[in-house]
Amino acid sequence: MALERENGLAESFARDPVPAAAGIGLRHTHYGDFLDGRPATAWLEVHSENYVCPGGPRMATLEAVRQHYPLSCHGVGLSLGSAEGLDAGHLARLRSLVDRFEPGLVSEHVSWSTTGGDYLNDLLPLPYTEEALDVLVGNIGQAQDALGRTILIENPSSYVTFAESTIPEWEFCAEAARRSGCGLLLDVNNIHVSAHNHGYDALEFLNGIPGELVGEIHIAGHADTEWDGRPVLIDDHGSTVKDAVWDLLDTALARIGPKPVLMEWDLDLPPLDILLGEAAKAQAALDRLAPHGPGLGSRAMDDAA
Amino acid sequence: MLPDLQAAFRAGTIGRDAAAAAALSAGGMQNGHRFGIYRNNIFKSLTGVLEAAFPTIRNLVGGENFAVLAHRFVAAYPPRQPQLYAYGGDFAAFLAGFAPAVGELPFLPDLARVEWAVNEAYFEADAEPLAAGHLAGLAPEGYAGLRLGLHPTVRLVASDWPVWDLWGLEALPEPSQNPRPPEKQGGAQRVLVRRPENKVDVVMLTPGDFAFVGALAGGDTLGAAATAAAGAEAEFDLSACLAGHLSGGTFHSRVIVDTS
Repeated sequence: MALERENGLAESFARDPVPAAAGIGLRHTHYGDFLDGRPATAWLEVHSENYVCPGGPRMATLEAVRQHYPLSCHGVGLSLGSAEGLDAGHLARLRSLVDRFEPGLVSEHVSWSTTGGDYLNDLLPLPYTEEALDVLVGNIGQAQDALGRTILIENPSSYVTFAESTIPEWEFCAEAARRSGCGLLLDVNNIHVSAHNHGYDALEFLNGIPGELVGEIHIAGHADTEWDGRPVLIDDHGSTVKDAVWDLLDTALARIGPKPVLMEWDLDLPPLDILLGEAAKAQAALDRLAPHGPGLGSRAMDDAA
Repeated sequence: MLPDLQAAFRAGTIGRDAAAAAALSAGGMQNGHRFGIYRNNIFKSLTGVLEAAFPTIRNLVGGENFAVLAHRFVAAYPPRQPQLYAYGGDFAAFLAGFAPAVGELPFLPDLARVEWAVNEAYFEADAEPLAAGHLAGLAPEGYAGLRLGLHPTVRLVASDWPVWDLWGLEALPEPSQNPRPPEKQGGAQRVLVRRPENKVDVVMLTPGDFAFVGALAGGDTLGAAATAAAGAEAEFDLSACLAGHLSGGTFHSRVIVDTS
């Protein structure tokens, strides 16, 4: 069963796979860098909702840049956790996007944004209940059917939790993936932020994630700040990656093996060199892994057999 | 239940209903003092979306005032779609009904219409503009029966205010490369917005020219549009007008000759 699923994932991403290397997000601020040259990044990720317009310079830029880099389309607006279901019109727009640009990876979040038809522009938290799990699994199924492919779902960062939750977040994410046949996008910055905000152990989260379901990893900066006079970590994607998150990335890679790692930066974007520098650190983490990592380890075992 | 929780989140964030947030905490939301982070994220991010779509208005009223306008707009007209390039089409209507803003700056709604036209043109479908040579082979007597389709990015805005002058007060992300006519007149102005390729043009039209393009947009033949233009402006110059639109890319490459 697990093997079938894995083959399914591999097959649908075969057209132009996103490599198990470090990538960065393509943002408007850096369009010029990518139109004038060929910055050294193994792959690029875009926010899907920014490229569902009929035409114009954004679409033309992505069309031009796509020729030179593997692509991942990362959704922020599908609202997989909405009790009222998904917006069929938006699914159709996303289908056009993936048909046109043939991304190697397509992902979304374990969160919700839409209620009563209103789109609250944030990744809002779900209670981790059987009810919410059923909603999420049903919506992922609808999305995968509409897109004609497997997606990855990302663990969110959060600031509140709910007493009615009965399932740990990592089990909730893993179970949604098992039931729907999707993969996981493991955001290690989000694990760190949520673990800190809610007082659990990030390693317990990591150890609860079935590594074979993980298709991509995210890293990002967060703000160590205060809200209402009390300390909180806010996932603002507005700075370099904190040391604790680099450590967590090493631990995750050692446990799961090499995966595509995305350096996210969305707020107060720096010059491209800074962003590429963070991605280079992620690549170094992947490179350090190579001699001992599970990926090569299992290959060595195959060779021996 | 999940639908109730999600409705309460909506009420407590964009609905600005403090009781809804308090009820969530009473119902078992932990660290409820952080609920405001979500409210803040939603209003701040959508304010940013509106600032990008209405940079001139943001510049003219200032950041703090714009944030007040944006927050009220978000509460009254929350996004109904996640593709936020299309969020803000109701901003002009909202401003028209917002007395404190309109009282001091009565041109704001019309300026918002110009900025929204620019935003729409930027993201509209690409198309080949009609090249001047395309009409060259046509016999002069065929011109009157031509139906010139407008380029899909074309938008028209007429205002009692000098919106073309006002719009020029702030540079846009993709500013027009076209030079502007030297004379800057006050009073009513008519604006045509188009994006024949990658750059958005914002062009001031004379009353006759505006009537001409408006008639073509309504499906009139070139002959009927010229008549409408002459009615709106005694000194309307058809050949100069056509030449300007052909070089500027106002027309779509599909041309229909009406033989009736």
